[in-house]
Amino acid sequence: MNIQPVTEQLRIVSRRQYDGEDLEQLSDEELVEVCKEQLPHELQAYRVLVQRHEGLVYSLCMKFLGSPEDAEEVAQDSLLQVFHKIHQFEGRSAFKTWLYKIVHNFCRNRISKIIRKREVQEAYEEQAKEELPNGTFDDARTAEKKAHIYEALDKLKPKEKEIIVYKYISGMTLQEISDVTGIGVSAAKMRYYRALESFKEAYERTAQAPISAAVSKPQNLES
Amino acid sequence: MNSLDTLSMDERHIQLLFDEAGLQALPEPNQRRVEQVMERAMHEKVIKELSSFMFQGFPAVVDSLLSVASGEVKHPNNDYKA
Repeated sequence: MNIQPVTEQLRIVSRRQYDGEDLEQLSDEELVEVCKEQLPHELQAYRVLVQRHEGLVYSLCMKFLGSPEDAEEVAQDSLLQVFHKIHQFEGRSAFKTWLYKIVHNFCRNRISKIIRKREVQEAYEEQAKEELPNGTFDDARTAEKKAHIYEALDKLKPKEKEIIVYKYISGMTLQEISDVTGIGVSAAKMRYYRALESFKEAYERTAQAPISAAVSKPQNLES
Repeated sequence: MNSLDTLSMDERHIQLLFDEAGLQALPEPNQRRVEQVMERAMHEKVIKELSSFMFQGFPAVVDSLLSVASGEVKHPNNDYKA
């Protein structure tokens, strides 16, 4: 593949003058090029990047850390790291993968500082209680599933929990998981299959029912 | 059913479970948190610009003043010599 025209296009993108609405139309990679030109003096393009990814970053931190206070701090630290290190991003992976890698490292560091696991469990339980809606039966069933999932995730080892969150919540492929976690694809695959078994076991213990009973069955699922 | 079939069925069940729990919905950015990040970025920007002045601009200013004071600044016209 001839990379030259793509990088040249990105350089042209970064040299243009933009207003706020124009910046929102740019892809992540184009925004990164503009940030490289603008930061640290101008923050417009950086603001658009933050706006675009803040929800995902916070959500990921919440899944790993369980505590809204910790998640908010770590999410902020991760996004500030983008501010400081954006000039080091070479575009070899997608921007989102690079961002996830930063979040991953910051979450790992924070987890090692969380001393009592019970604090995390209590935060999960509090969070799960807050999310229980006063609505319909379907809302209650969805909330119940969510609570069981969180509880099951909390019983996993940190590395198994990471891989389940990345695969089933962030929708990452095994290659992307390998890039973010810094392990090889084969190792990621093995870890994934072990995590799958552990999660299934943990969920079925929590929900006191097999997973197959917890989901709606389309006709073609059972062979 | 062999173990590969069991595994892929487990994957499908788990995928459905997460889908039905609504955990994959794209989370909206929270404006308060976005503004907190931008505020910290502004502080970092000021610190970077100040550091840049202190370590690059300020020594250059001091150097120029010293050069003028010591008469190092030369001009062909005697009137402009320090």
